[in-house]
Amino acid sequence: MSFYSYIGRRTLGLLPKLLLASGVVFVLVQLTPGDPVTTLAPPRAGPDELAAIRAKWRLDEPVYIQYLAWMGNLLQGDLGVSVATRNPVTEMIAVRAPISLRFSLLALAISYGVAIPFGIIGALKQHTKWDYMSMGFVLLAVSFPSFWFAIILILIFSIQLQWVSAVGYGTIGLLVLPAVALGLRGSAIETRVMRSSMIETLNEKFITASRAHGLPERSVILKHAVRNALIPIITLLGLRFGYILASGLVIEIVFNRPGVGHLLVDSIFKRDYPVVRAILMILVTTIMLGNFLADILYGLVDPRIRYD
Amino acid sequence: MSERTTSIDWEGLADEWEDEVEQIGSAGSRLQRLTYFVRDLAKHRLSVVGAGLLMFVAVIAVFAPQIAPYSPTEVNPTAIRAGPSVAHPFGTDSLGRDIFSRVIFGSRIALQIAVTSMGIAFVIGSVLGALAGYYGGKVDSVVQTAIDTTWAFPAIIMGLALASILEPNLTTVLAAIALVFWGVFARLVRGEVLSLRELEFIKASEAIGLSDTKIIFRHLIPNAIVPAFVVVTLQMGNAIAVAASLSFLGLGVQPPTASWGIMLSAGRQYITTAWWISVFPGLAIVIVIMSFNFLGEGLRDTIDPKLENNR
Repeated sequence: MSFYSYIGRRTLGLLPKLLLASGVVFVLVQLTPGDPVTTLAPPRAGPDELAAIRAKWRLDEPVYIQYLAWMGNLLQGDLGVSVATRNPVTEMIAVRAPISLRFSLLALAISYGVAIPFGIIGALKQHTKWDYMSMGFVLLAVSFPSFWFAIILILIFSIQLQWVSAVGYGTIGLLVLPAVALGLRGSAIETRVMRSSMIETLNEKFITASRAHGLPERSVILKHAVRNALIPIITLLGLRFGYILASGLVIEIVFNRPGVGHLLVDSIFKRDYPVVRAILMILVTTIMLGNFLADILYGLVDPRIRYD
Repeated sequence: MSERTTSIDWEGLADEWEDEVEQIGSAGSRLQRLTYFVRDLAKHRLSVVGAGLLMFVAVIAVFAPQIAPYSPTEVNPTAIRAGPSVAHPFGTDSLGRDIFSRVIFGSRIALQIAVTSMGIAFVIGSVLGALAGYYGGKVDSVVQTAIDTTWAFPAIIMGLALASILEPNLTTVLAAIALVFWGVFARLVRGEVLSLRELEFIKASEAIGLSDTKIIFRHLIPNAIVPAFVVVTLQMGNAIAVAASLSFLGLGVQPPTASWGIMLSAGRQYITTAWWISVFPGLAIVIVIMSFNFLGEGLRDTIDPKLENNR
């Protein structure tokens, strides 16, 4: 199968999933109790006024029509208008997205920065104290709920040792320390993948052949083994990004960072349904696209997978 | 002339063959295999530590009323945010409640969440995964699409969404976790069933005309769920972390229930002046999650060293 038809088939496979996810998001928000009209209408509005508002926001139409209208607008890039602030949802999210993205990307970079060397060490010194120490560290890191880990890090490094400032969300203390907490927790799975892929690569014949050719051990490991062992962990990037993005939303709330996670929880409490729907949909789509890219990458580097 | 009818006892014969088929499927008796398994597992030091700690926590959870020196909701206005002492080994919180007792009672909620949410996810996932793997075709593609969709909903996000629809409580937390995690097990079991289907004992079961239900529930699922056990153990730690995050945001189990997540969030604002309010429940969370991970790690190495964690 050519690479292009593989991409084509994967893209076709993406559509039903996105459709199902959009349905789930729509229904979840639809089921939220409370009539959105009460948020929209001025206090003590008469029944006529309520009916007019319903008609204006298309709340009087059947659910499937509302869904189709929402989907139609979504496909045109129109996420609707917030019922709480009357601002376009796209604008509200666009202002906050960079804050969340910057944080997630930093956490992702930290988790990979930890996982790659730890995985390599674990594989090279398999079943020695180095291996056990790196796996032990990873098992410990994954056992800390990231928001609590972040609080502890701030307590130690900002408040006790006063190494970094923790005032204002843009400061190193409140950007880097939570990212470290999130990244370390995330690194556990990646370390494991890196370690087993490295072990597998080291057992390959081409590594034995490179050694037999008399290449220095250093270049065998760095040039041949590590490069090949990186493939599985790189294809994991999409999946991991989605996970870190979602966990990052909770950290945002804990540390009062004005990002998308904060907007989501505020909107849930305010019953601002267009905003909740839009954020959930963007998040789910991002994660799905991440997985999609991971699949494509895998197909690119390992053609066997295309025939699966 | 009466027609001679050879009455063959098909039912009896099928039962007999089924027993034979079962024996082909499971080399060695179940008990023997279990003994070997426990012996291998006991060699894995980490898993022994994990299992030991979990048993300890389970005993604490069961005997919480006997062990705890105070009631978890007993308010004491004379000891507000008192530091650790003999009377209150872990100190007291803003209402003067004994943190030691609350941590002890909190183990009940934590274990309940871990076992129930993963139990539900495991059952749903195993059945749907087995159906998808066995029938293939349309059933498979529907289940696969659903599995892939669950991957796009992180458990925390699902928890937030469910908490906004329903009154946030223990049930919404359990439902959110189960709704997201069944896909993990479904995917694993589906893969196992796909390879089991090609084995002779399943082919033989089909040949002697066993019903699909019997093949799926008596032969496929019991043989396919072993790898899922490892993942269940590892994910129980995850379930506790998700539940703690939701409680922390006020969207999980509600106060005054003694849950570790709630205690963490209540102590957060006093972290510099009364560290014990959040540090002890935090440690409890870490120890339990770590125990699940240790045990899961040991199970993984014992059952199938090649098995990779997903998620």
